[in-house]
Formats: sequence, C-alpha cells, structure tokens
Amino acid sequence: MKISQTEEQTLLSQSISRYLADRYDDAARRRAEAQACGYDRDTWTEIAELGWLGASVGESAGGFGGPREMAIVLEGAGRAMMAEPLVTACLALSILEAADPSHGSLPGLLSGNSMACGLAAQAGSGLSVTGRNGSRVLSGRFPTVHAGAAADLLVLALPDIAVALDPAARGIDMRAFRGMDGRRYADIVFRDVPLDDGSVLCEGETARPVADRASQVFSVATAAEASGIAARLFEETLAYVAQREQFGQPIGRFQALQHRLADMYVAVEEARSLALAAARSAEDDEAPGRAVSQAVVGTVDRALHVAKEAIQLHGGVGMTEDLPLGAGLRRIKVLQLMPGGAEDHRKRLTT
Amino acid sequence: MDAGWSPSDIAFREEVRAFTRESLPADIRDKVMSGRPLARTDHMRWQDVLADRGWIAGFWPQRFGGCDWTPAQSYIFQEETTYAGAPWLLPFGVNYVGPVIYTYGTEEQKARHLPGIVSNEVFWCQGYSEPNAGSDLARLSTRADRDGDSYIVNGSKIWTSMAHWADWIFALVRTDARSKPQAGISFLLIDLRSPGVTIRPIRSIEGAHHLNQVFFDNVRVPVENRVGDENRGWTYAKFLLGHERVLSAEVGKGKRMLDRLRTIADRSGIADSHRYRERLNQLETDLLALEWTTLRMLEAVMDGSAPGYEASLLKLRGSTLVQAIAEATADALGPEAIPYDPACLEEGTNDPGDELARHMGIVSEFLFQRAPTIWGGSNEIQRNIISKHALGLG
Repeated sequence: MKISQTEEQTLLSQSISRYLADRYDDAARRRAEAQACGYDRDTWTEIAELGWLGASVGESAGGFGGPREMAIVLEGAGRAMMAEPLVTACLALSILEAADPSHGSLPGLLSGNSMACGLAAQAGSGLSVTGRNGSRVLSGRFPTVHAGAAADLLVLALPDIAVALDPAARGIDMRAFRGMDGRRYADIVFRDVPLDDGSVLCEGETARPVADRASQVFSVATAAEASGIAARLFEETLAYVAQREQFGQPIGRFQALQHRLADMYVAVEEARSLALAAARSAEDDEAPGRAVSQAVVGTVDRALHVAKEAIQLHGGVGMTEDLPLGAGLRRIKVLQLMPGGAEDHRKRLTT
Repeated sequence: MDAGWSPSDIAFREEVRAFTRESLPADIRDKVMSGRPLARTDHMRWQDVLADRGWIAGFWPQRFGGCDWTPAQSYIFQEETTYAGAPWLLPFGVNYVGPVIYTYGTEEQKARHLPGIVSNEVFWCQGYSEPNAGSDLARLSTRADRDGDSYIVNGSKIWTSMAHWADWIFALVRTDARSKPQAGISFLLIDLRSPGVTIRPIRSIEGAHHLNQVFFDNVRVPVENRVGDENRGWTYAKFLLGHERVLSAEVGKGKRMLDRLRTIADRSGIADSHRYRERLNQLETDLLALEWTTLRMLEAVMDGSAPGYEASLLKLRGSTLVQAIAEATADALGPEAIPYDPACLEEGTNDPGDELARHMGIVSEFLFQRAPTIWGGSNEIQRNIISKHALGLG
C-alpha cells in the first residue's frame, strides 16, 4: 500500500506553501480580483516559472507531473483562495496532453506567456459538430467559464472531437461578468464556428478517452481546491478560538465550541481523503465513475459546512471582508453551482 | 388550521392587509421581493407612510403615540406587512430605545425623544457590542467619566447597523470600573453630531455597507441624557434585549421567501426534482413548526404565563430557517446564481432589466443571511439561555 506523497510531491507542496506565504496574502487576492481580467498576470508567470502549470501534465507534454501533482497545486491555490484561473488552465493543458502532446501552444502555456481555458463537455450545453459545405462547424454554449475573456486559446474536449480554437475566431461570442467569488467569468457561445485541420486535435475513437480525461481532471481540480479552502477556513477558526477571549477565557475552552471544531476537523480530513481518492482515480486513468462524482460532492459539501461554521464561530468579524471567510464561502458556493460542479455531479449520482 | 383568532383580530388582519396593499410603494416592494438592498430613503418613505397612519409604534401605549396593540395585533401587523413585501421596520427607535425611555426615562426624556420616533423624524442606532465585548457584553469598556453636568465618553462600538444613517445612538457605557461588570454600566443617549464621534464603515461579505464601528473620542454627553439610574444600565439593556427578540418577524418573512423559492424552482425546471421537493418540504415543515410555536408563545405572553425564555427559542429557529430558505433559493438558481457584483446593487446603478443582474439580490440575501444567527445574541448564547433558564442546567 502506498497512498502518501512521494518525496518529490512533498517538495512541490512545500515550495507552493512557501510561495503563497511570501507572496499571496488576502490583499494580493483582492488586487488580483480588481484587475480587468480578474487575475494578476505577473503572478501567473511567476507560478508558471515555479512549475505550477507543468505539474499538471507529464514529460511528453513538457511537464513533470499528473493529476496528483495538479491536485497538490490546487489544494495550495484553494488555501490561498487564489483568483488566478488554475483549474481552467490545468484542464486545457490536460486536454492538450491527452489529445496532442506535441501541440505548438504547450511551451507558451507552460511558461505562463499565454493562458488557455479548458472546456469539458460536461460544463457545456447544446454542443454539436455538424457538416456544412464539406467542412464542419461547432455550435453550443459554455456558460460561466473562468477567465474566458482573458484566454489566448480555448481547448475543448467533446465526446467525438477535441479542438483548440482562437477565441477571436469567427462565430465565437463572449459575454464577461463578475462572479460571486470575485472572479471574472465569460459565457461563451459558439455559433457555426468552422473547424479546420489546424484546430482539430483529435477525433473519432481517440476523442472519447480525451473527453473522459478532461472530465476526470475537472473533477480532481474541483475537489482539490475545495479541500484546500476547507483546510484554510478551519485553520483560521482554530487560531481564532484560541485567541478570542470572552467570559474570561479563550472561547476555544468552551466544550460546545470544541465539539464544533472537532467536527470541522473531521470534515477537513474527509475532504482531503475524498480529493485524494479522486486524484488517484485519475492517475489510474479510470473512466469517470460514481466514486469521482461522490468525491466532488463530498468535498464541496464538507467545505460548505466548514465555511458556514467558520463564519458563525468568528461571530461578527466573520461577516466582514476584513477576513477571508466570506471569500471562502463564496468560492465554495461557486464550486457547488457552476456548470460541471458539485450539483451536476449530485444529479448524476441520483438519476 | 385555525389559531382561534378573535373577530377583532381577523378584522385587524384585513385592515393591515388592505392598507399595505394600497400604501406600500411598488418600487420599494420590488426591492424587498428581489432581495436588493434598501436605501435610507426607502426605509424612511415606508416608515413615513406608517407614521401618517399612526402605526409606526402600534404596540406603544396611546399616551406616547402608540395604539395599545395587543401582542396578537403586533404579530399580525408584522406578519402581514412583512409577507406583503414591506421593508423591515427598523427597530432601533420603535422597538428598542423607545420602550426603554417610556419605561425608565424622565418626563423630559419622554417629551424630547418619543415624538421623534413616532413621527419617524429621528433615526436611531444601537451601541451595544464592542470589539472585545460581543457575546460577553457585560465586559464592555467604553467609559463615561463624570465631569460636572456631563459625561466624557471614550471607546468604540462595533457592528452598529446603519450608524451612518443615524441621528442618535443609545449606548451602554461603563460608569464604574471597580464594581462587578454588570453593576457598573449606564445607558446613555448620544447625539451622533457631537464633536469626537467618528463612524468607520465595515463592508460585509455580500459587499454592502450597513455595519459600522463608531468611535468616541472625548465626547461630551449631558448627564440628563442618561436613562434611569447610574450603574443600573444592565437592567435596561436586558429589558431591551427581551424586546429585540420577541418581536421577530420571521414567520411572515419565511412565507414570503418560500413563495419566491417556489416561483424560481418552477421557472428553472427543478420543481420536479426529488432533491428540491425534499428540501422544500423540510423548509415548509420547519416554517409550520416555527409559526405554531410562535402562536403558542404569543398566547402565553397575552395570558401572562410566558416563561421568559420564549424569545430565545424563536430566535434560534427563526434565524436558521430564514438562513436555510435563502440558501435554498440561491441553490435553486443553479449557475444563474454565480453572476454577482455588489456595485450593481448599489443605489441607482442596479438595472433589474439586465439579465445578469436579475438574481443578484438573491445572492446578496444568501450571503447576508449568515448574520442573523450571529446578531441579537448569537445562537450559541440563545442555547446557553435555554439550557440555563428553561432546563435548569447551569
């Protein structure tokens, strides 16, 4: 049996923690959210140089990792509640890796000079590829794509075809908006977008495993980020009840609150376990199954519980933007409600 | 199910319903129904309407400008107006400081302060919590030192809702640092225009500004603005907290919010889903339980047999229920709940015709409704009260 991290993975995790401690506090998050594109491009190149993007793909695609390493990156990003579009970018890299590991865009994406958004079929609606005048066109809609309007490339994994498109291509419309988590999103509409040989990454039988891979990676990333946020909110709360004094003692001495903290701790540990299970499933290249859906639902439910308890146990100050608790709650709510998020997985599990 | 309302209660309910239907401005009702934040002028317009009708302080004695409403009438008024989409009737003057003044104040204080509340001309806010005195309110440290005919007040109050809109604050201050915490507190009325008062806005997690911290830097307050005896403020504070809790409007609000949840679910196509139906059923059941517990407590209050801790029970359940409905409503929107920009909700910039902005009020409510389980004596404190006073466990 071997579940725990390898030495390399531990080093990666430590280097992420160090960077975040030095460079990414709540003020940095707020500054990133205030940018027109919703994140900080200098931070993006810095974390790319540190290998955060390369961690999500293997050597054949120019990286050094896989789903487990990507999960380590996203757990760290979750802890810091980073506004940078890591989930969508890692998804794009994973699709490219699975469909065409020598794709010309990869070096630029891995170095952080450009940014691609990955679109997994499960997050889209009304998607179709049809023949027209001897060529093919793509139609459909991807709502709520994180940083969609800032993308240099859109990488789509559909059941029968994977494509990489220039966002400026004819037939692609975007409407950008701010989300409740403070990030920038875009609803992307594809209307008879021509697919030429240059844009098709793979199709037919080879496309299905790519789509499965995209679905798995999206789930792993969501679960990992949720577990990172939960861990952060729990740690904030644990520190607070130790220092906040009322009735002549730290409130953490009250047994009623100790039990609530104990339950939060258990929820965080289980969220971590579920996120790990999802990552292992993807590492083993399993097709998306019930266990991964359960992992997404389970981590997000636990993180939501932790976020609400964190606010309640902080009292009034928990309701303010002076602390990152509200930001955590809002991000988890997005992970729950977004297309392809926890609620979609729950639906799949119960129907 | 009939609670056995008297014919006059039934007639009163009809009267309130008809009045609200006719008199509540449509734009204000729309804001409340969609969860968008209200401006000061929205609150004041509705309260002016109530003041004109003589209903702003209906439960007050007639000699102070009220209508001598029974607790049943107060309940009916709250339920009907809230259900119909009226703004929360700001309680700081009417429900909190007013009854303290007419119960414990001097004739001069009554003459000076009560008319401004009944006419809706003076806007009050509440100065209780401090950075280091929240649940443990008795440890408050804002001090008032006697200097001739004045107190000199130093310190700060926090979580002061709407202080930036207010004219006056009623505040608990320490006038004796040597005795036991509860024994050294006095109840002061402070004009917010006094030199030395500053107000710092606090932005809450939905991005709006209704909370504040109020600082007092050598603020001179005439001794005649102290209500009741020096160092007996804790008695008046507890009297006020009783009023704060018993007059919860959660039943009408819960009904109104459930109506909206059903409408959203019907439109979004989830109304037939098992998960939604189970959740709706749970919320409806909880509301029914809250309503009938409220009615039982109401009857007990009227026949004088109320146990004294009934308000804690209602606060505990009312706050969590409204919170749960608010979240279920955001969830029913699905991905449509994600677009949110507090700037779009600021007065004057919100265009309800904008598809993306349409549901932002619901998101704002979901976030802001994390507060009621914290304020007014947190739910943890309510549980302490129940276990100590109802169950004799402490």
